[in-house]
Amino acid sequence: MQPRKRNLRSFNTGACIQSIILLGFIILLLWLDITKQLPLYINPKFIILTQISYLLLVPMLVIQIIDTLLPTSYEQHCHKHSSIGYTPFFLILFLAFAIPENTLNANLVSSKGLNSQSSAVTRSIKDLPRPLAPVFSQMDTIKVTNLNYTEAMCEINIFPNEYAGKKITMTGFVFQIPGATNNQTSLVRYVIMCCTADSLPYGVMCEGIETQKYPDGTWLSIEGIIQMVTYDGKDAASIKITSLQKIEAPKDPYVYPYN
Amino acid sequence: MEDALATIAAAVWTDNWNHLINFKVILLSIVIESFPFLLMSVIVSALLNNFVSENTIRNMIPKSNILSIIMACFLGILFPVCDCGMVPIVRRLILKGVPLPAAIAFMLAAPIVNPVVSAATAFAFQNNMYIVLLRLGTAFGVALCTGLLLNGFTRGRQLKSPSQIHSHGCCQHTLNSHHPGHSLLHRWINTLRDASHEFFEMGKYLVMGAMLGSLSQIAIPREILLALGQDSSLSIGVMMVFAFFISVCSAADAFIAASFSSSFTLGSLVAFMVFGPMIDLKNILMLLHTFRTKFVCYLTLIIIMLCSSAAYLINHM
Repeated sequence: MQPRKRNLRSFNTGACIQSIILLGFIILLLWLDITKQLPLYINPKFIILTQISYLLLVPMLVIQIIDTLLPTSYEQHCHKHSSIGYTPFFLILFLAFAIPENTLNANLVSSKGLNSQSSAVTRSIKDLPRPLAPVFSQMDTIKVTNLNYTEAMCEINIFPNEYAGKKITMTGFVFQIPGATNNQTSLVRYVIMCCTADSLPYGVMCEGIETQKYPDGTWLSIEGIIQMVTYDGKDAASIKITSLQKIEAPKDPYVYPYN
Repeated sequence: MEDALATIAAAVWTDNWNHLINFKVILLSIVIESFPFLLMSVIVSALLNNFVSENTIRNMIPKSNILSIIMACFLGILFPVCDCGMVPIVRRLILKGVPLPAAIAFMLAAPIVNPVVSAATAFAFQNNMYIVLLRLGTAFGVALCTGLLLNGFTRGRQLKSPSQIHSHGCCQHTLNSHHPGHSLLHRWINTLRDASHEFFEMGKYLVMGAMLGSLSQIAIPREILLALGQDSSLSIGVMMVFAFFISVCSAADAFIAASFSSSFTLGSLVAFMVFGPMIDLKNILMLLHTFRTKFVCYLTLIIIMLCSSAAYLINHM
């Protein structure tokens, strides 16, 4: 036991650093919430949890500030973390404020693997639930939106023969698939369940004369016709682009299914 | 020539910058996502410390050790928690007199055997109930067997002694007892203070784990994983190592597993979804901080053995 006396005089550094970190996290979370950036990191339905947590941090901060200013209060003397232990927290805060970009870019597609879920067939294809198949088959033009994105990509990629010849409109960013021929590319979006860490890129192959000139990550809004092609020795879907427009990255770049 | 070099340098710079952005986004998302769970855990732990006495807890658990382990495995159904915040609660429960095997069984089972994770798994595998049952059953079995093994083979205290836990070097009383003498206001203040101390103590390991996790998400190329996916034993090892490193929440890892389902054996997917929530980078750092190193090694070994044998059985069924 250290003598209590020492702390009567000395300034409580631990509580002071902790107050700074707590304040930093409250500001970070509040800022992300107010500027509506939270959906870029976590599923919108969990935002309420983040709001609760920054509200809970406030009383903790108050206690720490009191402890900083009144180092005589109960049992502070023993809580001495070494200052190095706080580095991870400061590193997070530094990264969060120093790097303004807040959206995943196309670099991650290759390490995540494109469209891996669409072939998620641990049982036979026949049993796959296809809730949107009847809806799509009645549409003249399949309009791919945030809400039907995952289902639409699965339908088109798994059953290209059923959709060949249909018109389609969709948006996504360009990703050059390895091994594609000259005028082939892919339009991709990240699909997220909980947080950005579990994002998976979904997309569809596209063909068009102009596609080559757009670098990976460029957002395009396209109209086209679905056709069947052979890619990697298998039947695959590809959109023959009829018109194409370069757009700004949307405010809600990720797809959150099942919300 | 210089132009070419400049172009290459620029390309490398953009590439690295893009990787850094992805790293930051993934890291921040893991931190933001696990933050509420960590906070909830340290607050529950602090409330237990200040408002619930050892006797109350002792009266709630069954007298028989084996019965208490079985009960612990089912408790997750009532407390759908994520693995991010288990360690502080478990430490507090042990300090409050819950037998170690039961507390560990609770820690292993609760993040998987619960309604939220079952629903997420069912979604991810397009309502394939067989996989959901396999996952929950395996997790239950592993937690139960680990509890029973610990019950049979461990004796004595496995928590680090207070002098080894630096931050609580001389305030054993905050860890061990609630303060019946204090007024209600005082107890609430102490609850907040305990919670914030534990938040910093555990939070730094969570954050470090999240950093290594996001780094490996960017650095591990998928092709290497896919090349090993069809071998019935090797795939299990690969998926368990992968689960250890990427440290994704137990509610979300089913979706990652589903993305591998076309190229990996079923057993390895189950191993991924059972092993990951039990032992991964971010919680092993917290475990090492809380328990004796030797105990954490044994525990990890037991879980590895149980998970991989279960996965092997599934592959050969």
